[in-house]
Amino acid sequence: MKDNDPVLSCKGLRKNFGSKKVLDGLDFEAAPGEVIGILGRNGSGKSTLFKVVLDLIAPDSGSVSALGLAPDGSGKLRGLIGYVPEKPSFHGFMTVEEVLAFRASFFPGWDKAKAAGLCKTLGLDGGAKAGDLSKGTAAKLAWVCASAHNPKLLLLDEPTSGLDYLVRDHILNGLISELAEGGRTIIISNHRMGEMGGLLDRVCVLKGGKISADHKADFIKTETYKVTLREETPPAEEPGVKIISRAGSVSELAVFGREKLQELKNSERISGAEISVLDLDSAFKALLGE
Amino acid sequence: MKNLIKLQLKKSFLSFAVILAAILFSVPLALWVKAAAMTPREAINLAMLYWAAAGIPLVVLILSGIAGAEAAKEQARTTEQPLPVSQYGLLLSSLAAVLLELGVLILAVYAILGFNLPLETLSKIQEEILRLYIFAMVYLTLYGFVFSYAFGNGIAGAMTGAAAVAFTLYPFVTMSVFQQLAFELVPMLFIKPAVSAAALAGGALALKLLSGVNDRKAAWTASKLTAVVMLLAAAPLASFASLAWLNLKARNVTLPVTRMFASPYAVDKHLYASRDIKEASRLLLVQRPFYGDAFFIDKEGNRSMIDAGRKIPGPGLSYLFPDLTFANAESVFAPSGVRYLLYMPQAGGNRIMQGNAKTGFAFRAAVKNGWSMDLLGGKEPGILHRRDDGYYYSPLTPEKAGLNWRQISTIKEGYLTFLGEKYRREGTAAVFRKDGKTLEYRGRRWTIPGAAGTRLPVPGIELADGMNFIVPAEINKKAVTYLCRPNGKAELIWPEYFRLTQNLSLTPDGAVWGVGIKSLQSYGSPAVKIINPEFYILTAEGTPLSAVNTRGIMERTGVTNGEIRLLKAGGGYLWFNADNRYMVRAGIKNMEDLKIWRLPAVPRKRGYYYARAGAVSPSPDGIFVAATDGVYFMDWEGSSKKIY
Repeated sequence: MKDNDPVLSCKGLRKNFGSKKVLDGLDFEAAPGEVIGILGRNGSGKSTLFKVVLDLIAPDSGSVSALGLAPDGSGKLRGLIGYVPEKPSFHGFMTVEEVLAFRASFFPGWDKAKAAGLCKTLGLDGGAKAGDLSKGTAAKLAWVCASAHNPKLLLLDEPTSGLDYLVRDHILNGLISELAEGGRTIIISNHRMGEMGGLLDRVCVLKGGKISADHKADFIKTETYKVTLREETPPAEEPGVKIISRAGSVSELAVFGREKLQELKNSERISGAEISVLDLDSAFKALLGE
Repeated sequence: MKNLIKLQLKKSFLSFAVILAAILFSVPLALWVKAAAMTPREAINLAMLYWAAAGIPLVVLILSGIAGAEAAKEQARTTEQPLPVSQYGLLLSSLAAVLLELGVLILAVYAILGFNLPLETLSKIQEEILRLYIFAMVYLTLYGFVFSYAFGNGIAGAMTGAAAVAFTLYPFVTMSVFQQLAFELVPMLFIKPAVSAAALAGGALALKLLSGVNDRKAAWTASKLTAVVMLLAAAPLASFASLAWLNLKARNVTLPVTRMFASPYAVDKHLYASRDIKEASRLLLVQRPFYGDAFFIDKEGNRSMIDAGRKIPGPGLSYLFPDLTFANAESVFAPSGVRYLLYMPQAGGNRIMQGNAKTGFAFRAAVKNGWSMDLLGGKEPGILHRRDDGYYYSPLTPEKAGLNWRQISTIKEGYLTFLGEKYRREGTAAVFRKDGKTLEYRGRRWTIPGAAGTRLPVPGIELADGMNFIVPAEINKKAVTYLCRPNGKAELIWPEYFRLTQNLSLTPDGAVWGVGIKSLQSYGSPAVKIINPEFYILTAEGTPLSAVNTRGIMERTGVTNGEIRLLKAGGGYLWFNADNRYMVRAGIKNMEDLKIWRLPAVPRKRGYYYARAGAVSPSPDGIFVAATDGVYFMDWEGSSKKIY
């Protein structure tokens, strides 16, 4: 694998569960060092995409290449990828230390000192039984497991789901930042992408089994506008324009991109409107509906 | 993989430990509840028998059922599958853990038995059962696991697995028992590994396909579903197919109908039965045990039905094992051209039949206890019957139907005097004078030094020059055999002891032969002892041959068990039946001058009787071979044809 080659490349991925199309010709690439948010509604296929990349699920068609390897059912790929599942699970009869020792035996690049350091940072008690861990503590342990073997690619599936504020903060401002700064490629799926906004380089929207939108994070942060109009007949939705709300004659629109905004202005369809930069949460919501 | 297996063992440690403890606890328990008549060792053995026969199979089903069902659960997916090993590898590790536990349980039982099965020696069938047991346990583990994984339910999976194993083993066991007790018709040496491989590989491959669907969420396709079903059904189907094959093979098996305990030698009564051996041997009485029918057949394949047998309903396949029925019979050929038959079918009454190949055979009389009867040939054929109160005799004449019994002696007196009288009356025996050394026949006398004379007449043999008599004698404390020729000379023919009614046989061409067995170290491995028969032969022309060594035949045919019999002697050659596998022609002057013909495969039982009781029957023109697939006739030049 060359330095500039994508760390992850998915081409034409299709996966059906029965008659339900979950992935429908999905194309996706991640460059080295990129932090990408995958945005999608429940059941949109985010976890399925991760499992295909991890070689846990076989696609019906299409190809995947991650870190120069293609999924072959052998599980080798999982040795190179750090993965934090949405619901981490461990053998309840093992202690935290045993879990780490057990995992260490499968990952050649396992860094014991790093694992111990992370445990200390996260306040994990090595003697605690995995079966007794709270959701938050289990999530921390999952983080240690995902990062202790120094993977170049991390897949984080709803990594903060169900966690309290302090743990989320710990993870977001501590771990992900640290990993991202280390030049790793990180792909994150999260319902609350707003809280990750500062970390992301790109945001991809997974809809209808495909990547329906792919934007630079800066674009979302700086070029997504809220347009508030007081008109009986506001502009209809179109590519780059999404109605956020409508109450009587007051409508709120999300407009993506400076050019689109200028186009609306030039066409005098938003004359007299109040224009401001859209906050991240609202921007992601709008993206989901885009 | 090692770490995964350790993990799986750790997961099931509690259940396994409880079961192991139960096995260990059953030792003091057995001692506590044992019957007073039992020794402590017997009580422990009994407890271990329970574990081996019922406990361990049940435990294996439970352990494999739990392991299989757990492997299918979401918990296993989320906990173990993210590890960098194949999902199939995870399943195999779980299966390997159960197999290891099975091994430990068996080892525990074996250790409690003192690493020694409580049997003095293992019979072939017991050895077979032991091997089968180990295979069955492994098979049960695999299929219990696979089905439990497929259903995601340990109980349903274990039950289905047990059913699959039972369906495979049932024909397997019946075939093994049949082949041990009856005939080897299908190659179990090939079938056993094939079915075992189908069972083990089928289960393992089906598990891989199921893993693809269950774990990797690959779509079910018709071809995948068919493949899984076929892989899991391969072993039971192969096993049943083998049993069906055995059934089909058993249909065509032919056996000569003889007396079960007939001696291969021309002993007293049977000597009489075989006096007209030349004519008698032109027909072979054959039975088909699968159908229970019996018929005489000649070298052209013409048949005369003796017993129509039974009707086989439907396809006639028996899934216990082929239901065979055997008949016994004895026949004599009278100078009148009539053949008499004492026929004793397994089903139906014993009966005397008479007739010939041209007109067929008819019922003459029903008899009871045919086992204690013997036909006597000669000028006046008859039937001898041993009853509780003495020996009875009835002549057999074509004119008179039924039987006309009269007592000839008490049990204590025996029948030999009567037989001797019959020989003498018919002019086929000589008698010793009172000196015990001079033999007399129709005015001719032979004086034999050291003759082992008896008060009984000496049956003669008809050679080219007339009636000859074979007399054993002792010279210088060494046993020898004389031939009293019609020209009045007594000639020492063999430096060994032979007597016609004890250790000599007759061939249809009139030759007389006996065997001196020599055990030799093998020509191959020195550790293997082979039996090398040396033949003592008197050809129909009257030429005596001594210590004819068959080592060359054994080397060329690979027969090491001494099962070599003379078929014909004449024209400068000897014809042998080598272990019912080859007909061999050897030059009298040069026993290395061999011509060998392979015989059709004959039903071969492992026991003594069927291996030698006349699957190959000589006749004047060649040999009948009652083979596994019909009856063949091979002439003396080795030209063979299937006649039935």
